[in-house]
Amino acid sequence: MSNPLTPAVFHVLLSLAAGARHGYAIMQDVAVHTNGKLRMGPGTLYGTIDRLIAATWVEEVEPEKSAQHDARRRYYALTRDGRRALDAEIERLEDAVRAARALRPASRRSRA
Amino acid sequence: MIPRWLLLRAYRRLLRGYPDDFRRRFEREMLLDAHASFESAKTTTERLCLIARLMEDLTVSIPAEWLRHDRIRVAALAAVIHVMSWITVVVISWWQWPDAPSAIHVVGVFSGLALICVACVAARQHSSREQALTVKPT
Repeated sequence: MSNPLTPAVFHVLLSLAAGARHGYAIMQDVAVHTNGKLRMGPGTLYGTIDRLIAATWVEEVEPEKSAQHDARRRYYALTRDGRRALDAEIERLEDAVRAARALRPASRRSRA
Repeated sequence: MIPRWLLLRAYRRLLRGYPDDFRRRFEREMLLDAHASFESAKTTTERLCLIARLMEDLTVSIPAEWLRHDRIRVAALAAVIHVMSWITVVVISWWQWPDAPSAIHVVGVFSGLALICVACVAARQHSSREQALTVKPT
């Protein structure tokens, strides 16, 4: 079983799962996904992206030309390894939630 | 209220704290992000919160990037600072404290242990690239 991902890595991968993004869009996605509980600063975000690129989980890509395309920025996308790591983490979290839900009624009963 | 251009100029200066390689790759985007964040912060309170968040981010991420990029240099710097402060303590206690010789031995032992710890940190390398991305279970 693989080790759990750090929250920053997990949320960056989750944001990129929906498609290629630039750094600022990832930052906004993370704030939305976590209801504002996790706000990544630029230093943390680009440090995480740098490590993800080094691990070949994320790569820099040419953006699709669209109305929202910003030529000044770099765009990042998930690689196959990155998607696999994200899937494994989601599966791990699902297992943890399943186990927690299964245990919760028992702990309530023992308290009563 | 502090003008936005002044805040961005100060932020650009602070970005010089990152290792050169990291700054070359991400400085422009970090400035663009800071600019966009300042644009979206309308009220003074929002701006103050943003400044606090950026400061917190710099405080955490600059040492982290140095440790990742140049662990040996950080450890060497820590060792130099440590030895300098040890010498200062020894010199002061020699003049001011009659029981200085025994104190020097105690300080020396602790300094030696601290230097060994610093050397261990310097020698420790990530066994794999992925290790930095995951939380190690304790």
